[in-house]
Amino acid sequence: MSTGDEHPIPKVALVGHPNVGKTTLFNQLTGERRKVGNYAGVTVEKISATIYTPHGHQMELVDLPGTYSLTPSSPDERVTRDVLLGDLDGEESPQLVISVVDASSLERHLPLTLQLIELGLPVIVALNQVDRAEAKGLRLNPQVLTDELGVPVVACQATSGKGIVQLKQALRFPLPPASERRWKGNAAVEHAIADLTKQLESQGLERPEAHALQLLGESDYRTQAQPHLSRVAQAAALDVAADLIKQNHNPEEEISALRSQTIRRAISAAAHEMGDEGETFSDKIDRVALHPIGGWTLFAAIMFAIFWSIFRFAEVPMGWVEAGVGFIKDKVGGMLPEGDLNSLLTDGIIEGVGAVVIFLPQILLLFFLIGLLEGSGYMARATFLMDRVMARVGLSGKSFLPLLSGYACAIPGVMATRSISSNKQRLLTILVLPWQSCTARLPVYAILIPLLIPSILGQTTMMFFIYFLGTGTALLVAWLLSKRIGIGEAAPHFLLELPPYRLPDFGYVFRHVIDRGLAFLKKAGSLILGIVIILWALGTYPKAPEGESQFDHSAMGCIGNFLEPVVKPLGWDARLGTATLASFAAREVFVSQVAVSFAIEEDEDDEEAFRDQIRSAIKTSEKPDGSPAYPPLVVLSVLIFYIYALQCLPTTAVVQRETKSWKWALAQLAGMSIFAYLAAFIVYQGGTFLGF
Amino acid sequence: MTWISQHWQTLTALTIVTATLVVFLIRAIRHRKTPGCGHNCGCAKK
Repeated sequence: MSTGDEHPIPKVALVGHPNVGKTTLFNQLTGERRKVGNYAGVTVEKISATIYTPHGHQMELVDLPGTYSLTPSSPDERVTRDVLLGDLDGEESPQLVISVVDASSLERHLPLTLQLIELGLPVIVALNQVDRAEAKGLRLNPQVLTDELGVPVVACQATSGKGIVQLKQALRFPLPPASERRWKGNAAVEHAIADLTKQLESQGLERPEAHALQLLGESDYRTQAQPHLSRVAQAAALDVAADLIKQNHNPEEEISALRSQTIRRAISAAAHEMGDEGETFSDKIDRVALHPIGGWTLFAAIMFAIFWSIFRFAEVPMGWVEAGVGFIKDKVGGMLPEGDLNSLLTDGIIEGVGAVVIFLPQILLLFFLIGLLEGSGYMARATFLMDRVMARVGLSGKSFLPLLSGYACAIPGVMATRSISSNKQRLLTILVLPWQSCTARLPVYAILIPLLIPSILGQTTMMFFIYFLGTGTALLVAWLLSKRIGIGEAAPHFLLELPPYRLPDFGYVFRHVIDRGLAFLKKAGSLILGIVIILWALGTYPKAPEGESQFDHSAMGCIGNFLEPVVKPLGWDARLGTATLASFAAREVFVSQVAVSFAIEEDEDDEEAFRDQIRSAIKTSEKPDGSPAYPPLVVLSVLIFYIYALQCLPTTAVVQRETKSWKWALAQLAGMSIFAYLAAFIVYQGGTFLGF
Repeated sequence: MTWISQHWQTLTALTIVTATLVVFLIRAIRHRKTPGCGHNCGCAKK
């Protein structure tokens, strides 16, 4: 099963608008086996997999970033254009392109298909979501569309797998030939294209006609420095374009008009509407989901339901995990006599890592529910609702999805800002994104919130308020910063396609949840494991004489005492200070550190569940004068700090990489730390002043 | 009993702690040479 020794493995690229179903189609074609890497020199992900045609020929299928056209408005779209033109270092252009098109929106999707054909590459059109088109009363004739476009057109429905076999059969070997350009301009335009093509060919540029069309059809490509295009080539294009303009022919407008004419002709030949379209099921739901009041109410209700579910439904599996951790601790503890190694394994590693792993069910549930929302098509509606709010604070509607990703983890959220075309809006989004309460904060919230409020409904409300507070602060600060950053930059238009509501692809959602869960466990088993070992050592040595507090005598206690003057204004003691300091490596470590530090001092076996053990230890801790060490006001102060602090050094590293600026990354770290300190200070001192 | 047999648990524990510190140091140096997020955040590959 190979292409034969004489042929290299051909590369096939999936290209299409965002949300058109490329990833679903990719999964159908590849059986969900995929490799994730990076394109050289840029921080855009490359997703690829090996596939075999029905005749056993091997191909590499690449899922290129979604793009609305080959005129890019974001780094992702730029990568797609550069890969297709063969301009990206270390990346061959594909030998075949599958243009994924929404069958119910041909007018919006076919312009990109036409541009792909003009690249001179073989193209196959995957006419996706034909069922939806038919439900809207649209009858399509793929064969007529094939004749009009000069490329194979295969009707399919990626979600159900319909047409996938036919699509695979279209991937025959040798590959189908490239089609000719589908439009012809007037004499001046054609002469300009031919002239520029000849000049580029003489300069040794590969695929000269494709580059000529791109240079004439996109003024930015012609006028702005392109890393992979010589100034000589651009100069030639500028001259040719200037000549055309002198003859009263604007190359961009004329080429765009010619493409539109070609598409209208193709659609009128191949597509027929059967009677009135009528309101679809999605349209009916959108009457509420997009309503200025109803939409927001629905959004708030959905988010509240998500948080309630996290508390309500995760309890049972968390109990299983707790029982498992307790069982392992007892078993391991029983295998060794009392001593430092026993303490390291039980009070350190199992206690510390276990305290974090217990929250795995909550994290999985959160990812599952967000995955359902994304898969159902609702998230696009939430993005639309958010656009108005985002615009008021200087952000883009496109900022919503990165900000939403921040609820899971700030790092993919920061990376997702690549889809934002405005540099100012992208920077603002990156700067405020860590205020979205990520899942690493969840163990901290889950330990502390029940100390303040016993009922599940109350805890849910508080959690909702915490997330609202973080997001609200992010938007407020974005508004304040927008007055100082990128002043004068015109806000770009926000274009979003609303996919139809559909049943989520549960297989994709579950795989996503499993991926996240494994990554969480990997982190627990590596970074957090290492940190708890060190924390245990700091808390265990030097050993305290009989009768004295081990924590106070230990290295950790010394560090804590050193920090105490700094954290005392927040109402914290040395233990909280050291736990918070350790959290800058990983937030979850707060729970581990509290667990480890109390476990080290624990003389007897405690049969209570882990989380209750930690909460009980926090509740019953007393200061030397007998007053509670951690009254509710202190717990609230800690919560406020964790809402606002940027305690994730990997995030700072990624921010530096994405902004290409240590200045912004360090300013963000320092700024958020100071903000968190001040907020916790105000809460504690203000509460004390008011008599709480 | 020899000193080692009396204190083997402490010695083993300290060896584990030292090894952990060494691993962190190596990772920190490697990170400086090839910077990146390290994929330690608990997020999955997209």
